[in-house]
Formats: sequence, C-alpha cells, structure tokens
Amino acid sequence: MNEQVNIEQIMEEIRQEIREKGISLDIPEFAGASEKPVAEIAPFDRNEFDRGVLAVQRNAQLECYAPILGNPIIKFIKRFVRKMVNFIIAPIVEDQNAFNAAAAETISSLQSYINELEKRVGELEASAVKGERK
Amino acid sequence: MKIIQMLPSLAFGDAVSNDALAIREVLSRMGYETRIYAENIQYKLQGQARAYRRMERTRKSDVVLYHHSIGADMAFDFEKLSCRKVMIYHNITPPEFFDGYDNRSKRLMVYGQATTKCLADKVDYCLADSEYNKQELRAMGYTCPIDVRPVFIPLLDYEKKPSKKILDRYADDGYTNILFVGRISPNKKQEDIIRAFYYYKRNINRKSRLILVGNSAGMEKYSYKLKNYVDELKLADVVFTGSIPFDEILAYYHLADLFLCMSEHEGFCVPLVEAMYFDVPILAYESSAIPYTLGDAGVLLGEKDPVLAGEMMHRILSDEALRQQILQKQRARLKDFSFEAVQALFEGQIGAFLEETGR
Repeated sequence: MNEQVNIEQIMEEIRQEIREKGISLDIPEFAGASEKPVAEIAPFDRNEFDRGVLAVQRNAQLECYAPILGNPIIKFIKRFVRKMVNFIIAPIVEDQNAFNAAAAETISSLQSYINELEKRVGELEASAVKGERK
Repeated sequence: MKIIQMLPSLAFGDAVSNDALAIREVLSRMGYETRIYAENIQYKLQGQARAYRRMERTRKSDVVLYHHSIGADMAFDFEKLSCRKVMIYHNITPPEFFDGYDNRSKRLMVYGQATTKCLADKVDYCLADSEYNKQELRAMGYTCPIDVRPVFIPLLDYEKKPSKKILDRYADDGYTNILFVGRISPNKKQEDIIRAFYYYKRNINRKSRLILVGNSAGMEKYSYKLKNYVDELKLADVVFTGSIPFDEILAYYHLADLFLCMSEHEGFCVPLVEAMYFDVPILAYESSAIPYTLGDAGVLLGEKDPVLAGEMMHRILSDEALRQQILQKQRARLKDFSFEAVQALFEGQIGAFLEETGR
C-alpha cells in the first residue's frame, strides 16, 4: 500500500526552514506600482474581428416594429398606437439605418484593408527570410 | 407551468451564462417549458435567449429562476413577481476590492449587495453555487430553504483541439509553466501570484514561466499596475494573454505544470475544476469558496506568504509521490462536477421544490 504524503507536515517543515534561515522576500510592494498604461500592442484576435464584422452586417438593418402578438383586441390597440407614433419612430429608425449602413460599409472596408495588409506583410516576411538565407 | 430564467447578461464563455444554458437543457429534458431572458445578449448567443424587455407575463403556477451575480434593476422586477421565485446565487464580489481601480464596478457590487439583502424575505428558495455562498445568504438573513448546487461546467468542451500555435510556441522548451486562469480583477490578487512566482523563479527555477490567462476589460488600471509591477521587479517570462479564443485557453491548460491561485474572493471558481480536468496540480490560497470547491483535492495555503508558496510550488513539482497524490484526489473530486452528477443533484432539488410548493 502506498504511503500517503503528509501535506501539512511538508508545509510545516517549509515554515520551519523559512524561520530558521530567515528567508524573506525583499522586493517592492505592489501598492507602490504605477497605474500608468504600459505601451503595448493589444493582442488582435482576427477570428473575433471577422465574426464581429459578420454580426454587424447581419444586424445593420433595423425594423421599426416587432410582429404584433396577442388577441384581436390587443392587436387592434397596438396597431392604433403604432399609427399614432409612427411619425416619430420612422424617421429615427431611418436615420439609425443610414448610420448602420455607413458603419457596416466602413467596417467591411477596414476588413478588406486588413486582408491586404496581412498579404503584404506575408510577402515582406517571405522575402526577408529569403534574404537571410542568401 | 413554465420555468423561466432571468439574468442580466448572457455572454459566451461566461460561467453564469453556461450555467443558465445548461439548466435550460436539463429543464427541457425534464419536460418543462422553459426559456431564458437576459437584458444583454452577446451577439454570439443571439437566438439562445430572448430580450428581457419582452419577457412574457408569468402566472402564479410558474417558476422564475433569477441568476444573481451583479447589481441589476431586474432584481427588483424579480422581487415583484407573484410566481414562485428561486434565486441562484453566484455571489457578489465585495465592492472594496475595486477601490481605486474601477468606480463603476464598485457601484455595481454595492448595488448587488444591497439587492441581495433586499431579496432576503422575498424569494421562496435559493440554490447556492457553494457552501460559502449559502453561509453568506444565511448571514444576510435568508430563512428560505437553501441548497448547494455546483454550477454546470461544459466539461465536454474541453476535449476540443487546443491551439497548435500556442502549443508550438511553448511546448518542449524545458520551461516549467505556472498557470492562473481568471479575469484580471483585484479580488483575484494576480499580484500575489506574481510575488510567489518571483520567489520561485529567482531562487528555485530560472527556467519557469508564469501565464496569466484572463481578460482585463474594465480593469485597465489594475492590469497596467500588474504589468508595471512585473517591469519594476525585472521579472521575465510573465505572459499576460488578455482575451483569447477558447482553443488557446485549452492549449495553456495542456502546457501547465501547476495551477496557482491566490484569489481572495470566489463564489465557486470554475478554473479550479478546469485544472482538475487537465490533471494540473493545484496550489491555492484558502479563501471564500475555494476550499469548498476543492474539497480534499489540491493543496491549500493558509497564509499569503510568497516564500511559502514558492517553496510549496517546488515541492509539488519535484516530489512525484506528492504530485501523484494530489492528482489522484483531484481526479476523484472532478467526478462531483460532471454534467451527470450536477444534473442529478439539480433535478432532485428543483423536483423537490416544485413538489413542496405545487399549486
């Protein structure tokens, strides 16, 4: 039968050793560390970006209203209320859709630009490697 | 009778969201009509839930499960429902952790705590992720029945292929990889992980690497401070991954030699179960729900001493008998978190509640 290792005993032995040898960690405290941003390039997730572009394209077009549900009386009331407020809602939705379409197109252009840049970087890296091998 | 779930946000990869989706699956299999409503639905999960603003009216015979993990106005709507009300308590991070880092998060947590207290006499039943969460509710004056049920964790997802790019980058380079997975957040005390790693790297094993997997969105100040601290210590081989795809998280687990957690507040801590799944020995600071999630698995540190932590890391990594003993206990504990085990527990708990309160 395997002998069980006594973890608490190990820990106590380590504590004892720390005490006997006077081991301590003499480093600056975390509280004194700066909160200023570190200059870095944030990791870019290409898959996440492509999925986001698809979601923007899919959801760019808004509809003014959801389908009307309910019994005939509820439906009538809802239709009536919609007719009354349509003059306020419709222009807002139109403006929003115009913005969404422009944003979606811009994001698609950015995606194409990133594709071009990646292709170009790949070509440059390949020629750099060729240059190193010569 | 319907069983509706309400939660503020449904997001891909989020533990609370995974729990809600799994509960919906289990309730459907049990034959109940069930739906999820959320205020914010991430675009990846469109179609998995309905917008909360369009939540259907409930009848007295219905049941609403509210996932409580953050301050949200919907908690007060939940309070006013006339149906049977069940709160699934995932815990609210104490707001003081966010002092000086993020006022918005602090306000949300203050709001969350106030909401929790407000709901003390308004719910019919609570499911708590851990015994720690249950004790917290009792301390806040909850007298309704409270059962402990671990969150559903999609363990099958971890069988997916890990990222080849990450494996190729770090595998077989002779480095010992120390891993922590969790949002960059002050309650998780990543600075204490860095301090323990500093001792380990400088005094025991120079060929070691610390990998901190976690998104820092919303915690930029804290994240900058951690990175500046690493620079100040002139500590090499510390990797902050930021938000990464799932296959890269899997790769880091495959690469890990030890999982180090110094968190001071967790309601459950899913990454501990993930580490168990990937057979990575765990060394964790004994706080909040961590000892309850570990059971007798892993190794618990009773004090925040980076020297003790560093030396214990060395013992676990160099003593094969110890390491195997830890892994054996972790494998046994992991079985308690299988989908089937949690499903059986949940079915029993919700079934008993429905029977006792049947209208």
